[in-house]
Amino acid sequence: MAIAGYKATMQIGSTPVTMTNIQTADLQIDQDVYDISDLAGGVWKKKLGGMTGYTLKIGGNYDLTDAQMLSLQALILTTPGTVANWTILTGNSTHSYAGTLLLKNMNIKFDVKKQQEVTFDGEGTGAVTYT
Amino acid sequence: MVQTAHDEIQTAIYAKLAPLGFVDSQLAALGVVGVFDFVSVVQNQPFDYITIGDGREDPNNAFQQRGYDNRLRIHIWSRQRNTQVPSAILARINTLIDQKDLTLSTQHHVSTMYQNAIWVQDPDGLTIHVVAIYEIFSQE
Repeated sequence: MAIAGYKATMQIGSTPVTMTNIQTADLQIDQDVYDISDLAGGVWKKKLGGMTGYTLKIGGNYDLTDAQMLSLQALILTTPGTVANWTILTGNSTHSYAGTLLLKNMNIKFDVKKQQEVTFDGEGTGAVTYT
Repeated sequence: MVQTAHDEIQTAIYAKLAPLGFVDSQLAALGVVGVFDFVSVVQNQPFDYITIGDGREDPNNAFQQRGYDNRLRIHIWSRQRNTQVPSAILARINTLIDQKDLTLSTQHHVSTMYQNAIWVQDPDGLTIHVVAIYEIFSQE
């Protein structure tokens, strides 16, 4: 059963607080996969799983009246190297994803033809938890 | 109003073009005698006049937050004998609302942007009809 995208909620903080004006959240979880094929192994490749990591990209309307957006900006402007706790409520019952990340990029777009927009790119440190 | 911004925007635009119910003085000096809802123009209404209210609304939401993109049309109906005066009316409307803040009764106004206008002759052969489109973004 599909779930509508608008049911999701983006939250920031060790005590999660909802972040407003967010329109997209893109959580990408990757596992390293190594090719361990050898010459004597026939035509089919062999693979070995490695470590797992993730990136999280969120985007929406630029709005620093939102305390959570302001706190993310501070993580890259004034206290780089500080981690942020994040939670995404999926809207499917009480399920959520959560983790801790370091911000890698903040992109503010000022376009005369539309509203000001912002994206934050982060790289996870530690596990993504699913509850 | 929640769930749509259309009426709040129409009210706010009307207040810009006809503050306190009286046509803006510079519009009046150009010959505009009234600003009306597009379905409320009486038969034999004297020219020139402006109609508002028709347009298109699209959602522009964020998570847990509703927003609206309204493409509002403002119509100028003029019987003056060339496009000079209707163009001056359009210029005055742009001065009043393009890239200006609107006061909405419940919603947060984000932006008002002039998109385009067309000048056409009405099928009656007498009336110059200017259709100007504005994009207005608001959030609950």
